[in-house]
Amino acid sequence: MKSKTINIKKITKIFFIILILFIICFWVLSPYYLMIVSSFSRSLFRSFVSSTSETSEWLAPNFTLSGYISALNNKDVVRSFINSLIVCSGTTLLSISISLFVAYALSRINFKWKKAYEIGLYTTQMFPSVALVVPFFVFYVLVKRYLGIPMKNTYHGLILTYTSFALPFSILMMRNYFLSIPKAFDEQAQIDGCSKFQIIYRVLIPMALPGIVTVAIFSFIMSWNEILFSSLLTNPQTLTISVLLISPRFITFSELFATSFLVTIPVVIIFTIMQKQLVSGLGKGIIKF
Amino acid sequence: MTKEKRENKTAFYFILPAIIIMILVHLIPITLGTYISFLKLNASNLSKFLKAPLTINNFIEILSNKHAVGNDFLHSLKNILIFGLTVVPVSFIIAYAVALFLNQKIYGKTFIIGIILLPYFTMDSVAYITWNFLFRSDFNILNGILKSLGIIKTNIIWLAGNKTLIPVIISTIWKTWSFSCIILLAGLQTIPEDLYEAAKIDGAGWWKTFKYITFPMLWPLSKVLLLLSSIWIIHSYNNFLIMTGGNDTKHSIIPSILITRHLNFFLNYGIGSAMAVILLIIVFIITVVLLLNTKDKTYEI
Repeated sequence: MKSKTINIKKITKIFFIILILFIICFWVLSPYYLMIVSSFSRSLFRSFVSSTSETSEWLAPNFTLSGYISALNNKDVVRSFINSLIVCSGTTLLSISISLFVAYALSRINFKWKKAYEIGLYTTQMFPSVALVVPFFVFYVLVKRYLGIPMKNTYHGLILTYTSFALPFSILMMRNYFLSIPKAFDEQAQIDGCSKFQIIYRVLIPMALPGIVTVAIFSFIMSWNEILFSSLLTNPQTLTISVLLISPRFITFSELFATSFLVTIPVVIIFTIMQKQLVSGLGKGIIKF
Repeated sequence: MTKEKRENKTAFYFILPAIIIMILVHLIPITLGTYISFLKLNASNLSKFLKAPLTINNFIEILSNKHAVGNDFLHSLKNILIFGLTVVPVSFIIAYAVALFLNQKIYGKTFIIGIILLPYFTMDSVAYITWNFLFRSDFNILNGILKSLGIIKTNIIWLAGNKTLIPVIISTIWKTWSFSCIILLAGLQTIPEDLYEAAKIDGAGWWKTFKYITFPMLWPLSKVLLLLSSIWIIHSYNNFLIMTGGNDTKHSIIPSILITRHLNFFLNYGIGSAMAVILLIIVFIITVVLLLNTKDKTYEI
């Protein structure tokens, strides 16, 4: 008798787990379903504004690849996708390399003004970027006029801007991750005759890999998503894909969603591979904020 | 050279690049922006930038109900408050519940975490374009589904008028909860297993274990997460821009959209900067709360 009740209890539990999993998957995945179905829809390829207001005929099985073909043949799409990749990887590399050293200093060295610097980091991280729009604009014009370095419509201008937005959070995450690595490793390396740079390269970087991956993903996603500054600081040649997607340059919804899908896939695959590192990096990185 | 001095010097070289970048792109622009907010600066007198007289009129204008600008700005503050007070708790509760759920032994957990992370990995533009498409009244996708389920009788116009906040809230929750969920899950995994075992021996049930162990142990992290997400809500721009398609009424205007509109279209630099300064002050207050709350509290028992 007893084993039977336990069985029923177990079955109900499994049932509920499956139900909850199903709800989570439905909630997360339904927009992707909509996106993929629309990207293959022939009726959405034909007309931008649907004439059918009652039933949505795009759900009918009218499969077509035209959306993908025209997206891949669209020079703007390809160019701005490459632009996005350049800007985002530049930002990621720059913010990793800067935040590694700063985080090392913050976690291993006791120096004057450390507390003040940390508070400064917290504060700058909170600045809404919209408050920086006009000053940036004016500042970049001044840089061009007096130093002769073009900042608008260039990759380095955008990379510098995004790096500055990603840096505070990256530094704090990286510092917290470094703090979770025992100092005994550094001391051992120092006894073995390593300099500070060697300690960072030989000891800390291999051990802090999850932290670095987290910072990389954070910076990449931040610059990948950014619209406001990208729309102000770029011209058609350096436009990023996030701005292109919301500009009125797409003629059909089918093409728009095909582009969206093509843009999403590589990033999702790469980051899903790094997922394990991200979870452990976030776990150690954000806890002592 | 003493050891301390040498250490100071090394630290200085290590943080120098970050300091340079921050002075260049945060300190100088913010100072400049605060200065501009005290000027009557627009497109016509931009060339006389340095000679414009200082005035406090911008702040009076944006904070009084009588001016159209002030009216808009107060509405935008109210909207962002409503928006934040819904999005932050709801996405936190969803994230918390799912994190608790995933913290038990489940088959295929990595796969589920992968699915949960999808919204975080998806570009803002892509996510909100899709949500916008779902809510559009010329395609009637959501309306059609709701009608066939018998929930509504007539089509609802979601993306204009007084219901605009609802779609933006739903889509923003969809986009933001996964990040909180992963952080909470990571936090849950740091709670020592012996605490749960002790509770089990004492005969504590699920609720008591949650109330006396899980929740208090996770509270420092939850607090940081809540405050951080409140700040990220104030930063929100992409979701409103894409979901409303740029035609904001007083029901859906938020400060960041209003500021960019004043800066880019009306070219009212003084007014726009003054709004930005007010926004900065609000964010600064939240930051101070965050700093005071997390001061010198470590996560260990």
